Amino acid sequence: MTPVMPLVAPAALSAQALAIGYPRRLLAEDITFAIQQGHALAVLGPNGSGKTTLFRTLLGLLPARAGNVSLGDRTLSNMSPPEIARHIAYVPQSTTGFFNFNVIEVVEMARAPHLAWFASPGPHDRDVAMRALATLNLTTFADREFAELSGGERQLVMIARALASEAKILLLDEPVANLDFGNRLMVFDALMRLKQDGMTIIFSTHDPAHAFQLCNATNDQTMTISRAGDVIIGSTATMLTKPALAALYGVDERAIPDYVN
Amino acid sequence: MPPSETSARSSNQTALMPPSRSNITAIYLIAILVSLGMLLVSFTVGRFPISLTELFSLIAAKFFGGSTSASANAGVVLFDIRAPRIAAAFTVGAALAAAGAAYQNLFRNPLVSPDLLGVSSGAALGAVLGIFLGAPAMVIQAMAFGGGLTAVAAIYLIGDRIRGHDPLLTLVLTGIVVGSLLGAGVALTKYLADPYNQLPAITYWLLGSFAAISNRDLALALPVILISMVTLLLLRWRINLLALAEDDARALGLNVQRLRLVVIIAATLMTAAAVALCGIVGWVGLVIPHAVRLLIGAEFSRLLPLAVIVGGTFMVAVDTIGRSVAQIEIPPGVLTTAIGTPVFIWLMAVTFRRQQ
Repeated sequence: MTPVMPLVAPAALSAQALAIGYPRRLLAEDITFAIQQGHALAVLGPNGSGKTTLFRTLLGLLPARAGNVSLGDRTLSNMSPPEIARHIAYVPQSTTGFFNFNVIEVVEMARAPHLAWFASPGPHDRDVAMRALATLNLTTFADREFAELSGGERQLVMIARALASEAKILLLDEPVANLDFGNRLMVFDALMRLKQDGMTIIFSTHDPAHAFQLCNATNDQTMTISRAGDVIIGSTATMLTKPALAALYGVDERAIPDYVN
Repeated sequence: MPPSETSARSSNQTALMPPSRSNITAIYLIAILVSLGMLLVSFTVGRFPISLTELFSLIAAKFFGGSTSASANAGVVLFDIRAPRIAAAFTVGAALAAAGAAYQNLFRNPLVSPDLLGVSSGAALGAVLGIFLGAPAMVIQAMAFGGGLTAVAAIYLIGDRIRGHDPLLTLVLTGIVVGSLLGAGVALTKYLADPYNQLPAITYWLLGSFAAISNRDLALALPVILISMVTLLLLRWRINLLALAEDDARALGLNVQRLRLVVIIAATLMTAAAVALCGIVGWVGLVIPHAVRLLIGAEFSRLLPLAVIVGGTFMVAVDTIGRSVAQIEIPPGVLTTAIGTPVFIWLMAVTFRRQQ
């Protein structure tokens, strides 16, 4: 690495010639992109194309097969897991596998990267967790049982949990999969407000409408990963055209709804 | 058959509301009062009854000096026989319940128990072999201890080597397979044992007993159990994170592998020490943490101390019943199974009814 004085602030998250996959199976290579703080990146692609693998690599859960990932001016591979967790928060797909924790206890779990091995969350951690709930108007949920909430409410709590880690980058794996229409609106409305407040948001989705909705500003981007491992990144409007989507998902252009150009 | 992960997942969602702070205090207060009451009962009841007045005057005489109206025999029974026995019962119950609570959190499954990882069957094979070889009592205990640890180490390593889709499920299945192999070893040893001297001793040990426990046995097992228990208590909050999906926990910066290993070692040491102390006492590690979780919720900081109190008290109650209701002593393993089975079925029914 050669240190270069940046003229502008370094990107919140960037990848340089990144290759993702497993020891015996490379999924995609030569992925290069950069996201500025406060902007959004949508990731689209058919099932099995490597969206989750990309996310796992960006989170440092899976080593990059080549190239590297940077968080601000630091390289991911030089950071400890708690350090990474303080910078980038993960919202997993549809979470139900909890014992009966209540909402505030779930949110407080995000304090783990700030706490020593033998420590429990203290009053400060409780404050941070309550503020995260308040940001999403979930204060009244604090003492309710997590498993009793609706799918959309659960997803909002998981986003609040991500906020409680005080990370400035959110990484969401299909945040509205398995949610009904109302719950989808609720979750995306929350994400839009977080983005306006300066959060960097990276999410995978199967619906181009979500990319248009959240990634419509200058510097917002959309990435597509094809089954063959071709990765293309650009502005949402140029990326998600009828021909591009038809090729990506292997469908007829006429089958694609008209909100896509 | 092991309960499948899906059924465990869905039953998790439907348990009771987490109790409020004042309810938690009340639950703990009641548990401590019941526990103290049980200890009083256990100290006074038995083949050689000691009245409450005698009990207090003996304790006062022992610790603060002065004379006592109670007989010298009562003193011997109380301090040399009953006290180590009650301490052992409480320790074993507390250790098994704490280990069970830890395993259940670790496997994200409320229906697993310390027996799952082959601890009990490994310890049993060690002890049974010791009896078969005519080893002295100390060596038999050490072999029980070593057997339990070896079984878990083997299961953990095998599970680690097999690249399964679901490492936890692989571990559970390996535990069952290795456990049955160890069971065959126990059966073979029994078959080969001298039917007049060794076989009764083996059978007696396998059923578990607190009758022959001395202060020296306790001094061997207690430090191991205490150190493991303190480790779990220190990690009590972090252990909650093991209930998350593995990627989710790792993305929170948690070294899942290391925490899992520490918890397995602590819980296994506790179980092996308990088994070495008194033989096999089944069901406590399964039923007590499950019941306590229904009562107070899954948050491990709340769950663990209550599981320790309830597990210890339950074991003292079982031993008191075992040594006082009949002419002969009823082995605690028989009683815990007789009590544990219907209670477990009832717990399962309660859990599933909430699901609907």
